[in-house]
Amino acid sequence: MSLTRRSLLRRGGATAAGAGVIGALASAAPASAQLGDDREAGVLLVVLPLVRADHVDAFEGGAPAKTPNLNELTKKSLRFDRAVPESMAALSARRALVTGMRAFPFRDWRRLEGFPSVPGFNPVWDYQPLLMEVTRAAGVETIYVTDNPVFDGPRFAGVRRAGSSASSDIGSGIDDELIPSFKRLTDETRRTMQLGVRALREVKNARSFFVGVDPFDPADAYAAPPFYVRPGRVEDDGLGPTDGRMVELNFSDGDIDRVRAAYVNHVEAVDDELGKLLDEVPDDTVLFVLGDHGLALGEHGYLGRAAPTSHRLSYEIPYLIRHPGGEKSGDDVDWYASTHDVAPTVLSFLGLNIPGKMDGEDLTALFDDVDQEDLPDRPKSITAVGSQIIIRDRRWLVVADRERIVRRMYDDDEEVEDDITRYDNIANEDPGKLTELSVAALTVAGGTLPEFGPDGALRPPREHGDDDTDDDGIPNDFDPFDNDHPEDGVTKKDLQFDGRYPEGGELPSVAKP
Amino acid sequence: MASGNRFTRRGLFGAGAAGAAAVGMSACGDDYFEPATSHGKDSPNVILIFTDSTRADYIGHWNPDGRLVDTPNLDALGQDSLAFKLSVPEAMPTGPARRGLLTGVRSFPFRNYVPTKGLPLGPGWIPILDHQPIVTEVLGEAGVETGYCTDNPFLVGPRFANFRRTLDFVRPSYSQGAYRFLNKPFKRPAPRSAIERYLLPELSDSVEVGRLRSMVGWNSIYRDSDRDYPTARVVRSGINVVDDLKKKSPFFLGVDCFDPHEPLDAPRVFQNKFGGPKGIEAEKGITPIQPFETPYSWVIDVELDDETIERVRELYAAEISFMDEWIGRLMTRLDDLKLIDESVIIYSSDHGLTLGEHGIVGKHGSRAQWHIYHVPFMIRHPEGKLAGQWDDYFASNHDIARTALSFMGARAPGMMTGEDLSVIFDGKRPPPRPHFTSCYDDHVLAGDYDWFFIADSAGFRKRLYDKKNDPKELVDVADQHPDLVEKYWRILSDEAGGTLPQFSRHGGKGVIGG
Repeated sequence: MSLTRRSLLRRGGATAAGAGVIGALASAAPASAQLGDDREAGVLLVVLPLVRADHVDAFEGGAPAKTPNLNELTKKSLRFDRAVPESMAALSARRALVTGMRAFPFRDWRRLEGFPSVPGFNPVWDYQPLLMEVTRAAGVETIYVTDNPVFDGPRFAGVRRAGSSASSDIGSGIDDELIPSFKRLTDETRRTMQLGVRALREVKNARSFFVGVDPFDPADAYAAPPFYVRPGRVEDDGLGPTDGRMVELNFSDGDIDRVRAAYVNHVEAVDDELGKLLDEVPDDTVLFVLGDHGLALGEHGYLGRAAPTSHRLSYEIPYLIRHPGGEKSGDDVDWYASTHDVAPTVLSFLGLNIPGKMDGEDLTALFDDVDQEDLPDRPKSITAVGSQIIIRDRRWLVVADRERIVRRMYDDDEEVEDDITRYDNIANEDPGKLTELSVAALTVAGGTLPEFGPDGALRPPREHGDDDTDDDGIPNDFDPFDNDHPEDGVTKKDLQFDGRYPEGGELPSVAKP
Repeated sequence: MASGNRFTRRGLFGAGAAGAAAVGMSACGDDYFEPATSHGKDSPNVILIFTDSTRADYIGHWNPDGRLVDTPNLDALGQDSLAFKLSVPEAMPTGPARRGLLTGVRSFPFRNYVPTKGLPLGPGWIPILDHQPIVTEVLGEAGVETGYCTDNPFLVGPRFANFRRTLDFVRPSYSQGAYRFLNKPFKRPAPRSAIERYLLPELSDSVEVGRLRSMVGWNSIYRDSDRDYPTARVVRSGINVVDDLKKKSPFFLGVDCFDPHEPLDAPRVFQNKFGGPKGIEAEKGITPIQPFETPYSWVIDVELDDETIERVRELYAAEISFMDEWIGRLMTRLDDLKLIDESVIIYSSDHGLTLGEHGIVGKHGSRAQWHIYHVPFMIRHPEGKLAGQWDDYFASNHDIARTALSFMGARAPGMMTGEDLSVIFDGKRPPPRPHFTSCYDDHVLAGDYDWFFIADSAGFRKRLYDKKNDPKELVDVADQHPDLVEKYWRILSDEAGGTLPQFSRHGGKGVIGG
């Protein structure tokens, strides 16, 4: 019985099935699930490059693109209605996907040779856990098909190339950059999915497998996608730092129509390829299908990939999990699932222990009859692209830069009856709400947001080489006094343990000048 | 957007609802008021024993050849347990370590520090934040009865109320007289004359005066016998709670003793078990139970001679011995109730205490070396799996939450960044942790079995010690191994997510950068 099997699959949890206090322990203990019986035979992860949820009819009715395969799949899957990648653009979304760790707020960004000077453009660092590495180590047959150039090296042994070559010269403008990028991605999707079909055939008889099919245009690793904004928009909104991605362009409505038409072609081609891939998928396979990130299609004067626009449709991605037993098929969930939940969920489906560093949630809980309200709380959806942070809850959407110099807030719920339209920037009208959303981003970032220099997140100053920092002739003496600045107002009392007023007097007030 | 609320709202209570279907219990789970859980009688209880300020080298199990104190009960527990050779708390001291323990989320590197009223002023001292999970809350949602007994002045104080609210059984003890100012100040301190027998001359004008007066005053009223010492009170309340909890299996019980924290005032008979009055105690009749001005003093500043330091160590040993005896009583009680083979027992501590090493008594962030960071950590499996075995994993206090959840079959929230150590009992390895990383005040430390690295979080005063050839970490060899200094610095900043936070002087303004 499928439900029973899955419900026993915990994040390494003791399953405690059966009866008898101690007798059960032996068999029930946590990782005995590791490649034991309590797991699914295989997991297929498919990334749909640059697909917006609102172009899939099953997500938003009246979608402009025809996506029969995705619609069909959605009926058999658990659908996440409000999924947004935890960070963008394509490269950092991939990093969260395979590490299960948030890339937001790009604190670990360091500029590397050949990569753009945009926060988030870095490879998977050595200290991060890696989904494919974990599955391989557990004896799961692992194949990951992608042209992502940073997925390279000994840790990525199971990665296969579809064989595109990268060009870092992506040009600029609608006809030189944007529309050709759809074309490249479509071709990439075709090649990658074909290889995916082959990979699936290879693992058909495996005891356990994980296959990732992840079309990626290598150019997206070496160049940050520009976005186009009508000049008036920039003046009205103020955009804050955009890492050089913003291009002012007075595009016409005709241009928008051309881009939309080209984009619909791309989505339909992706759906077509997905259909061919799905024909090869065995029924007892868990299928995890999601987009990587969205784009603006002329709404509110924005055009381009991963643009910091004012409404959710340009961020939301399709996000589907098909359970082999058909559990929850056709159901939908509002919980803010994201890219970093993929790795923990895949590992849990395979019955593997989830590394503690992965901070995404294990969504298999939803198939164990855990209600979405009982999942760990995630009241806001927070994502970032470069220096811009996008925060939203059920009604509001804030676009801010990390120094909080320019913050825009929009009412993103058209169903609420008020006289605020979607494109009104109301940041100055509800500072309380603005603060609430900003603080949420700060909290997720761990308390502070990093600042960026041209070559990476700014670090504390380097050591100067002399341990005698206070220049009193005694190296390494840990003298708490700064002899260079004896009059800096710091007394011995300030340096001592505080908060100790034995007679119960007033505790010291927090911020001393 | 369509509402996604199509699942059985109450099918299973909470995310920890493992295996209910498997044991056929879900049938009764439709009653809204009856949480249906997987736990029933099938998962073991988890009993967490935590003691403050406990150095591993003072526990016989970690130091069998150089025994400093007899700890027969902890040694026996060690014989039954999987012990970790080198366990380092993920952040120190007491407050941040408790936060890591209870939330399963690392407090390192204190990026979210803000000065907080009601807690000491210093990096890391903040309450459990609203968005953090609490292990007892997650367990409670999964239907586990939870209890916690402690005299820790922070946990019973105003800033950890959100933790106490998650518990079914709370047994706070306010018997740490010297630290009552953190919760309910003691209004009848002893007169100055009453503390002269404890007060070092060099501290006669320090805040320790008030503390000692408060402690002696409290003791004069509420301490009649050995049973009234804080450790005894906490363990006795633990024993009482076990009586209540045993019918409600599975349960989670925390027994968290603030001792052997200073003042080092174990009962007299224990104090004299390891030697007698010497040094200042022999000459002037002053028992150095508070040998430093919190958090630390230089030995030369408080004029401790070698004999007196020896006496301070004996007093610390006495505290350990007293604590060990009471842990023994708890274990005996668990055995009497036949709970010992139905429970996972986890024992650990939050940090150590410097007793004259490096010229310091107390706890100093920039000297957070082996005597501070090496703490005991062991897990006793109910079936006695891996009894007496050693593991070289760098286990840490933030692993305890996830490990406890896992033993009880509950799902750990993804935000919990600790590892599930229960997998070791199944012959699996937790994800690799090749180095330990930690922090204390504005200092960060990292290391492994070969090297120990410490620096302040702005990158000044980087020091490196060769633990193989210099186990006491006396000689700084940073200038001979710039590559290693770079390596450990990188490990620390990676672990912190890329950059390390910087703090204003002594944390007065919170985080100012990074």
